[in-house]
Amino acid sequence: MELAPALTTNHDLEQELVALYPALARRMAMVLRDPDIAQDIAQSTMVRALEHRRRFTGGDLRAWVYTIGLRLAFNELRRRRTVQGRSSAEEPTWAMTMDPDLWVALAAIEPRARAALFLSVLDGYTHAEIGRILGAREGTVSSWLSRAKDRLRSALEEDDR
Amino acid sequence: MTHFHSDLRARLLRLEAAAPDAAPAATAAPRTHGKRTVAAVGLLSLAILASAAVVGEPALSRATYESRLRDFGVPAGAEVVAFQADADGNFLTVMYRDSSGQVVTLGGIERQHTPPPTP
Repeated sequence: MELAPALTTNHDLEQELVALYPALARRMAMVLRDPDIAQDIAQSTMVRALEHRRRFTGGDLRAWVYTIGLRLAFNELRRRRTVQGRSSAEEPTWAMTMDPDLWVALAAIEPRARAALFLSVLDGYTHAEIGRILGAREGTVSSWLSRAKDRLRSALEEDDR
Repeated sequence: MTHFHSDLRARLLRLEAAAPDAAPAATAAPRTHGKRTVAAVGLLSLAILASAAVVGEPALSRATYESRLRDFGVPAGAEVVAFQADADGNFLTVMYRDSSGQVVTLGGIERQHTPPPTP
């Protein structure tokens, strides 16, 4: 058994990271749409964040963690290529119980755009901040958000008729 | 803020709040997906461990978990910050806080490789 060098760490940072786990897990479930993959990615994100915690130089810890998590998530989606084509029978109960119309409408949005939508609408990040988190240009983020909202507006208003 | 935007935000908030956010399966055996071993990772203040609800996964008993920690070299009573385990539930990495408050890492972080997409 190898004993790695002791790591000095900021106790508060670890506590904050641990406290972020539930929100991270929920966000991954919203973006990835598969609870098992979401939990795997959330856990991998926490390991990665703890491993690299010295690289966090202050600022928005949630954005830092989301950056790690979303990039792992998109790598995983590229690997699996199973986002499309799920039948409604495979959709998670929690989503289909809470708001099936919204959940189904969100499925039509490309995963990066979906993540951008959540970062904008739920977290209030600016387009520039979202671009940094997702590794995309600000203009691309603006385009994603515009198309995502148009698509949701169309789908949800149609459901209301 | 438009009505659509505020309504969308409210619906997204409710939907996300319903999403699963269980603490990592601290006592669960790691799951495997295809050839890739998915490491179970614990964020284990012992309080989290005690309250962790593990649904649908085979679980190690608390006693087995504690025993494996001791075997891996973690001092009794130490607070485990995180761990990775292989598909058989054997620890690969354990991060724990020693008596001085420093985090000690036993083992090495197991990388999860993302192979290139198959054609």
